[in-house]
Amino acid sequence: MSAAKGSQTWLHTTVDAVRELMEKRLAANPEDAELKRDVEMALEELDVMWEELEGQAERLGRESERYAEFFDYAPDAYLVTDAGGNIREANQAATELLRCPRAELVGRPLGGFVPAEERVSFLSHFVGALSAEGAQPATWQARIQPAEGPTLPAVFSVRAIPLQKSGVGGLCWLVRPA
Amino acid sequence: VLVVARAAVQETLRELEPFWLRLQAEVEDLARRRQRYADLFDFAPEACAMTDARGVIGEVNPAMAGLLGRSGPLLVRKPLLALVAAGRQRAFVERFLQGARDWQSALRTRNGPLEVHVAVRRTPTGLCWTMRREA
Repeated sequence: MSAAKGSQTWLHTTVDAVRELMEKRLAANPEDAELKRDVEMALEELDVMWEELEGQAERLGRESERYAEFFDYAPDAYLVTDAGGNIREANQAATELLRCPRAELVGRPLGGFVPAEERVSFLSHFVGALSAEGAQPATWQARIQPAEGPTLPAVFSVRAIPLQKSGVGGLCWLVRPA
Repeated sequence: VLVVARAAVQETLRELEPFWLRLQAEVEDLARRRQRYADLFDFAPEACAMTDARGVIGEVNPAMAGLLGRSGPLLVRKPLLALVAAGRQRAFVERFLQGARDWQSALRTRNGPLEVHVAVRRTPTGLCWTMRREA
């Protein structure tokens, strides 16, 4: 969330700095009409380009915040794993369900939260989802082993996120207490 | 003098280049980030909708459009309540106003009412809804 805001502030500061630099150049040579015209044209172009970039950055920032908000506040536990099954992202509900802070979830294999006797079945669903990229989600019942406390019955749904769209493929997992 | 003037402008433009390249890289990063989260919404394994705080639809994912048998983009700016089966709207509003987070309801679909489990959570800018077909 703050990354988008931060880069917009950064964009703005940079463009202001560039403007200032060009205006200083102009002030240093007040008699030079040719220079004045060239610099003014360059400044105008700069303004147009800046407005375009600013508009794009603003829209992209707003949209990613909205989508990120959905992920984070979704009623159910969502996790994203890479193709190796390691957790890359987890939402608020996932940290509560697995009773593990986000910083400790990220990087751990999701299979580690499945009781040992159910791991073979978990792996076969996992491989199935990886090979059925973009298809309908696979859903099955299994138990989960949170970081603390007893195992719980749960429903897993998983769907592959195709690689081509964002350049980051992986699997989107939904885990719901049964 | 002309040559000097042109050289000064050229020099300034050259100085600008790395700034612009970095600006563009920043915007590309933002685009990737946006697409990353958009993918999570689009490929979520359940039907999801985002609305404003008054329940006006901002976006539904393909799973939600599929559940309703409607086109997702055509649902934007419609009240979510319009998707609820006629006889169930009052109960839906009551449950929502009571602050419930989960309840049973029915959606109006192309093939008649569909029993669903509704879940809703408040977000800083609106509401996040999921709907699940009752088994």
